[in-house]
Amino acid sequence: MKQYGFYIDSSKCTGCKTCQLACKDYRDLDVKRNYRRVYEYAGGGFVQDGDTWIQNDVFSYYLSIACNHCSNPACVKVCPSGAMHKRQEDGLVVVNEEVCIGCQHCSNACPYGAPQFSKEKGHMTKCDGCYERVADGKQPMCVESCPLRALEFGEIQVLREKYGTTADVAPLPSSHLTLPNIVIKLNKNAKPTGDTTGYLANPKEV
Amino acid sequence: MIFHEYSLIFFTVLAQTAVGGYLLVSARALAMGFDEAKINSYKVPMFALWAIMGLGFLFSITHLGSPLRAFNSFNQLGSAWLSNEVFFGAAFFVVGGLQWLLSVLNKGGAAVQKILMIGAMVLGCIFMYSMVNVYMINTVPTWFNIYTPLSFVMTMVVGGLLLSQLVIVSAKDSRFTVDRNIVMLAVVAVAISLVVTVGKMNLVSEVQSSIIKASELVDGLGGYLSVQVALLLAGLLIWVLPMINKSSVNPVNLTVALVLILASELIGRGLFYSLHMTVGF
Repeated sequence: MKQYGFYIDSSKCTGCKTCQLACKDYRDLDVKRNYRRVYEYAGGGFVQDGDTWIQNDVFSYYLSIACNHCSNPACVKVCPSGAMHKRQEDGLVVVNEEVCIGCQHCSNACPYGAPQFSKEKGHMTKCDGCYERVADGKQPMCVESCPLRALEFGEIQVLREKYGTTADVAPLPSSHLTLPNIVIKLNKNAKPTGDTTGYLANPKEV
Repeated sequence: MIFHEYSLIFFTVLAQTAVGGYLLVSARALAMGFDEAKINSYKVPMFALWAIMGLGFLFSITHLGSPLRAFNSFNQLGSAWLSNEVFFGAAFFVVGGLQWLLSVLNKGGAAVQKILMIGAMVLGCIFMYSMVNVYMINTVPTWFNIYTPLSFVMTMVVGGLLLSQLVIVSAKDSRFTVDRNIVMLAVVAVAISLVVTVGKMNLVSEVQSSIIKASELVDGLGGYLSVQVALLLAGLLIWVLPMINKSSVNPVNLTVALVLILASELIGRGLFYSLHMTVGF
């Protein structure tokens, strides 16, 4: 089975959120919904040395996360209507908006915040990997928009051959839970999954 | 506010109370070998039980973003616990409701009613089992633990015990020993329920992801817990006081106790939903 995924270069990402906004514009999303979100994980502090404060272990890095089109998607497992499904042809996790009843249980289960409820539509919506664009040989809108070239999209096997298999970094959950189809190039300040020394610096933006 | 999921809060608490009550009332009817007339004498108080269950289902539908598509919730029967919950909940309501209808119409005879009773009891148990599993999601650390089944079962036991006594007393089928035994069980059940609540909060104080601390999810968590416990104890007091005074329990004090204890359970369930978080964002 073909399986698409994302490569996310956290060492390049500057947190500019062009990906988030390009997606928002292309998919015509309201204020509350963002199919791609840029999380800023920050922490550390300064220490006093006599009369001066010196930088001790201050860190901050960005993770641009959409839907990871997991191989073991938590959202699909709990969906009562079958609207949330994994496509056979490309492995993308898509919600059938004609079937979804809007119970929002998928968003309870997903640890990445991918399924998002549209109050206006009365059902769930989410990143579908721009499967229509992809079928036309184009890239998803977020990938195409990234000015840093920090995002790539393609068959996950190819991405893993090129960039390795890292999918664990704070504040993402352990990848064994849902088997996300992402490859991450770590920022030099990256903290391991489970790290609690940092905090989400932009909670209102995601 | 902890009541943003009010529809699920009411649905789960009312359903657990109704199923708990139904299991106890029906088990007693079966164990004591009720004849048809005796079963039928329960028709009025049992209407209250089914009204509670029906109200619960109405709340569950208000939870949907697209209520007109409610029937799609059956689609994943067998593979998604939420589908199982909806299906077995509906089946419990239909089979148990049919038995109640027969008792109202004086039709069917004792044997048929008892078969339906057993059927509804089994369906009710599967309904409750499914309801627990809906929330046992391994990416949700504040739900994926022993306290979800424990707290759901304790709602069934405490709420069910009280509702069953209200039904039995309202059907004028009680006597001192029955009331005394139920009240003694109530004290034990409330004590266990308190232990479960304390244990759960102990766990919550330890759960955190990189960006979320469970203990910080609810503003004024301690205040809500105090009110929850105070309502539970006040309900218990009003429930058992007539027995301590050596008089008899009556529908009025039991109804007041039920309102207080349901209020306590609703706050507890409100906290349950408000403490939702995932292992990630």
